[in-house]
Amino acid sequence: MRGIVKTSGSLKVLAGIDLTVARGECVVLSSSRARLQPGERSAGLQPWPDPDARSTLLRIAATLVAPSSGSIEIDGADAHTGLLAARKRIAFADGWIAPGDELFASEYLRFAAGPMTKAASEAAVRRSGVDPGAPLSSLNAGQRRTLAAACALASGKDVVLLDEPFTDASRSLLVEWIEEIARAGSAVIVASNCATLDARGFALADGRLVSVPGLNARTSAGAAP
Amino acid sequence: MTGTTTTGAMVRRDLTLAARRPGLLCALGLHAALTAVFLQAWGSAGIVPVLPGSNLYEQLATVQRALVIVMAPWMAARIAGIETRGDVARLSLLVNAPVSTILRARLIAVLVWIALFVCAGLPSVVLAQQMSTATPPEVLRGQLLLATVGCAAALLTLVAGRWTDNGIARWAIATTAMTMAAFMVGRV
Repeated sequence: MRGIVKTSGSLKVLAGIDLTVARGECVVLSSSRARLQPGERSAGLQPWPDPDARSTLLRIAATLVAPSSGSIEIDGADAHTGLLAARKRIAFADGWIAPGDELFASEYLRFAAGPMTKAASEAAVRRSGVDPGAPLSSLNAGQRRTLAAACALASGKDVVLLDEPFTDASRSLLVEWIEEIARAGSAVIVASNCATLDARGFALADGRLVSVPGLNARTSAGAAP
Repeated sequence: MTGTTTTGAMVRRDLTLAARRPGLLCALGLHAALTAVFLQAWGSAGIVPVLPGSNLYEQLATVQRALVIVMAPWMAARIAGIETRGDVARLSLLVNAPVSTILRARLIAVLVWIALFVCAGLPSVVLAQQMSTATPPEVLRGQLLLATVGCAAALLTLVAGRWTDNGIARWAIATTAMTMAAFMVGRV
């Protein structure tokens, strides 16, 4: 991402985001409100409605929303000009499940994550902690969020973008899965306050990315955007 | 996924969803039952008004065309109406396919259901043909016309989806347009 700016009316939601995520790397966008220390606040980093900004940033990265300016590149190719080619490599999950409550969870994953055997789709859903034979209509909001994340993780795409994927029930299962696909070579960006991911940590403050070395004990301290 | 694979996956999903909806299966049953009841009632003098100069098959075909004009848009609205226009954009990202591929897959699924709807009336149609002076080619032409009317009605419903997400509004637009067209052509 280079120079991503997004304005909404007079509000500058993103004020020039530069972020490079390498293959095999995981980046966590955390909440500045939750993470900034008192000293950092006094240094001018004001808490602001960053959950919306993080979601906007991920939606821009997913090519769902066009930035006001700036560009998204995947291996050097501009994502917004070569939309379909870019989307082949992007998996995005923010809890949205395609309507169609009559499908079972494993059927949905097979549809959403791409061609795979029935056994593979059932195993993937089970891995996320959701019952593969449960109809979508029977899933609660947390389970639907988990299933959406499982679809992205099982898709095998190069870039995986997850917006608040965790619930209390699925956190440990998904963390392990995210780290596994990162090790396998995917670039992963997660918007979450989950403090257990092995990842570079950033917060958004005043529309800009701020490195948060103290995000968690396993974070690579001091990494630059 | 390639374009063909994506279309296939979308069609399979839409057909699966439709098959699990009792309403759509009821529509097939309704067509089969109504045409059977029509045949039964036609034999009892006075129950069914007889169109002058028409044999049993021709009258049944008229009833079928009226039925398909009402039911085809309803089926199309039920199959295609599960997503709002915003959902279609998300679906496009999810399956990595242009919106046109999604709409094409949806159209195929709707046409398959229209074909099933027409087939549901075939037992009564065959009986009516045997009870009247209609020839098999006439019946074949009649059923193809029925399928064409159904497809046109379904297509209109899908096109109406460009202006509204409301299923009832889509059904009303397509049914009204098809009824007017049918009267203009003089088929009903």
